[in-house]
Amino acid sequence: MALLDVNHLDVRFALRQGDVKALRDVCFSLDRGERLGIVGESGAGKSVAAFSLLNLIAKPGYIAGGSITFDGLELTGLSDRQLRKVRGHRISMIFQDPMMTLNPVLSIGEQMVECLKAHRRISSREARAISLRKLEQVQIPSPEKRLDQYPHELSGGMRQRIIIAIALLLDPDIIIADEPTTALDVTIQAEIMALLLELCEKHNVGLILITHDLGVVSQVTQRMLVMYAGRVIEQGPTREIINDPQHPYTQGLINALPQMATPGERLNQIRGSMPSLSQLPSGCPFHPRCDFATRQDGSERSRCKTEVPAFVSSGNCQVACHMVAEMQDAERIEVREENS
Amino acid sequence: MSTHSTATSTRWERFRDSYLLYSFKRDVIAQVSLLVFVVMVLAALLAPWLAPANPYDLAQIDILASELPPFWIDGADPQYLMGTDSQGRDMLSTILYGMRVSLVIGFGAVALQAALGVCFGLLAGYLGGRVDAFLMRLADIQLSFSTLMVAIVVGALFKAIFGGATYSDYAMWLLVLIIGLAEWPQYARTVRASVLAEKSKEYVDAARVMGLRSRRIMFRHILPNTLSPIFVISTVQVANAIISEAALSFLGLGMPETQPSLGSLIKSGFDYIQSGSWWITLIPGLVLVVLVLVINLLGDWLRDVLNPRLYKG
Amino acid sequence: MSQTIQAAMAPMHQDASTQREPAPGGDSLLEIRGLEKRFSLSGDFLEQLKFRRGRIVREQHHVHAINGVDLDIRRGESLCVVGESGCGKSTVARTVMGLLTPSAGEIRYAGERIDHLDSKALLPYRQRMQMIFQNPYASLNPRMTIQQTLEEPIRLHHPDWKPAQVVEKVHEVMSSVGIAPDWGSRYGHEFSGGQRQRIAIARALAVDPEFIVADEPISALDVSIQAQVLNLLMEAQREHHLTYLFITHDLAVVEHFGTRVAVMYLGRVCEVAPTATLFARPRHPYTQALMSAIPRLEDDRPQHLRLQGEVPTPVNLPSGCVFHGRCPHANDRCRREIPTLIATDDGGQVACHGVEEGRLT
Repeated sequence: MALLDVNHLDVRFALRQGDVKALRDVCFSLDRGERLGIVGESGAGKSVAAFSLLNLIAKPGYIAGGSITFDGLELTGLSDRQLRKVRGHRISMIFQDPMMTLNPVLSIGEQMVECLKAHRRISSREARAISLRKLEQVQIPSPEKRLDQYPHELSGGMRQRIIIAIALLLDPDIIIADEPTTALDVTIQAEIMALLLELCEKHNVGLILITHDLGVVSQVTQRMLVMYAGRVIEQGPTREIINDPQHPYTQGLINALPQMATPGERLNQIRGSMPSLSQLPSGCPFHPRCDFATRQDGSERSRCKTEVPAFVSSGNCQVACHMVAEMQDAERIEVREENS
Repeated sequence: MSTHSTATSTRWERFRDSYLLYSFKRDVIAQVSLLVFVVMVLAALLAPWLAPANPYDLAQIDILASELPPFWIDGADPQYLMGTDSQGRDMLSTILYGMRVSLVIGFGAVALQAALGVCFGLLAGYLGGRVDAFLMRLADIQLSFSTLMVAIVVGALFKAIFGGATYSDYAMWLLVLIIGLAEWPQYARTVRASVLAEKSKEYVDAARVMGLRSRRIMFRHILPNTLSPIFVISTVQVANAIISEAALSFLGLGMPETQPSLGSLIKSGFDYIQSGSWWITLIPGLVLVVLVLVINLLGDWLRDVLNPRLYKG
Repeated sequence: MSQTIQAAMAPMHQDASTQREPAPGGDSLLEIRGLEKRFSLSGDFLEQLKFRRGRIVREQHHVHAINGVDLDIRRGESLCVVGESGCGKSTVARTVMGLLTPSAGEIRYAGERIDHLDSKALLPYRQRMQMIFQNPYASLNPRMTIQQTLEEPIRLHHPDWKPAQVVEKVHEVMSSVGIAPDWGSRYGHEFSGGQRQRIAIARALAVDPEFIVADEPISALDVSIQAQVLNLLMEAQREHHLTYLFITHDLAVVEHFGTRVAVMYLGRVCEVAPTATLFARPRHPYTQALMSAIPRLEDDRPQHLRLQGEVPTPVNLPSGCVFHGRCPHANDRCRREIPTLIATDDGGQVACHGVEEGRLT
């Protein structure tokens, strides 16, 4: 059994216009030590997915259905007190903005010691020693000095290293990283990503990496989910999806990257923009932007408009697309005809 | 945030779908406050038609009917619903007229404050540097003179130059001037702060890159985006101006007794509290409290609605 | 690269929309010489006075946002300026547009000095130079409709036009960026980020400029929208013979979009080269590190060059080469002497003692 199992997760936001479905029917799992990427554009629901794992979605959001099982424990129905034992301890989070986690009026050392003592019965001296060791692990120069510094005295890259040290403090099983390097410069970003990857491998920590950057996902993760308008539309091994995406949206996303086009030529753009969650199109949420749904020998494919596509397996991947399903059916028929 | 395929919405439709109206419909306190406020303003505006007597008309005053109690107390004259004051003026009429004076001064003074404060705040915030430093020091100096000091100096000067009779004629406008002059720094500071926030946004840079003049950028681009805090502070300032006027009048630096405002009514009745005619002071006092309270409650509601941090629907 | 684009543009010079003379290839539209910009950190005069050792002294601290930048932008090209945050690339853009006054140096537009011009004298240039901003959520006035936003620059620069002419022009630019003209009475917040950026581009195009400064125009947008906006910018360049100064931190975009690239570090230009040359053979050690840090789809493992330390603060600039503290090849000369841009054999310029001495290839 997987370490973390998410099944048919539904998350809604109760707004005055009515409920907005931020996540629908999201299923995925994570094995011990596995690195999973969640990719999508803004509004796809990738951050909501991460936050809902630890029930950290702010009001008016709520989990409307589905289950989240972590190491045999069902998380959805837990009280805040019970959740706190999991949160930060066995599953920890890294946010985009380090200042969301760091308290500006406490020194780095105080924050780390406090965090350790909240979860373990240890003396301050022991806690400080552990903190120091963690800071060494994230390769911060002169870690002894950093313990007594305040967050504002450190640079952005340094802060993000400290956040990683804090995330590792209690030897968690899973780290959820929400756009951990988006606010950083390219060179710093590359270093932080390399560090995170190295630490996860060394300590066999699972990683859920939420990002919009396909390059980062392809370098760091083993498996990935592609999300669109609150749904998972494709999932599977990262290399397979990057090299041979099945879903038209994933294809479009990868082909739109400047590195996929000849310099100076037109980029392959996806038309239109991500629908707002309160006005989702019927059927497949991607159909208004999808070439396959509207332009197939002139006729419109009505199935894409009316029916939400179910997952079909394609290699090691799962894809929610009518086109992929139909092509597989056609192949199957062909094979059967050849056999008979 | 997506575009709707429907036809462009009109101003009324936008208002109908706005968060402003939505939150108003859900807020009973705001509704009651607005109702009370509207009733009071209407009553004050329509005073010449609503009031049973004209307190400015000496011919209608009967000195023999002075200090009559309101209707629920023994010895009341049904002709005078709220009783009469020491000069025999009908309290109800005097209060209606007095409220009118108070409201005119309140709104007039705030209009003046706003005009001065918005201009100075825009200039200070947009131009920055020495202009900013100069105007803000000026604001500091202005704030260190209390309204009372300004009133004493201006009132004394005016009386000395033009005499007491002229003073009575122009007292109302003089008070507008005094309170308007004394409290513009509040506006200037609020406007300056929001101008500084708006100035750093890219649409202002875009306007500069276009080649627009500073004046147009300030008034056409920045000012409309600072209206929310201006509205909020205006409600508070109207309430403050009414209180300031009442305080000045109570001290004898405001409206003369012949054209009483709520403040001078309270003052004129104050001497008679000891002799048992409490209503002369208490009823206008109560009206003043209610008026200021509903304005402040409306201001609180408006602040909650317009606060961009809370406004996320 | 630059030849192919100019060749592609040549037949379009007959286009009726512009009456400008076709420029001979390669001449500079914009020249930046020795540009410096300092921002004071010390507040106003009174706050600068400090009491030190029994006497009052005036102390000033400055952020050296750019110090000594030389750049030429040629007619018809897209010059991309790349660098990390704080390298001064946006300051260059804003100084060129006159949003900031330079502390030293010259900016010439078509041969005429334009820094230090007052706003009136600058007005004709405002029509020829336009700017597109980073954040489409902040660059449209929230209290103005799209129609009003687009009419304003046209009215300002063509005061003699009739209202019908103005409206026609607005409709023309709106359709040219793919926004339906009948959406004009809507406000900015009713549009998505990509649509807003289109409107911002329309505003820049409304006065028929010849030069556009684009300050990170796509970095606030989603991947699929970035492609749309980049395509639009390239189309506009072809149709209106535009010259771009394109500021970005994204090297993948540069490789696709730029004719030439200037790499900036801590307020100085370290390398300028034609795009293909730079990507084939980056010369400056910083450029090499920057290029190796791009997350690529192809490789499984990042093989990036690690730089030591972090970018120093621009308040106390390092002596000599600004990059020496993080450069693996730095020697004594790098710590002492500021390198200047020298031409390389493949058409670029690089400011590095190592390359000059032949220590680095």
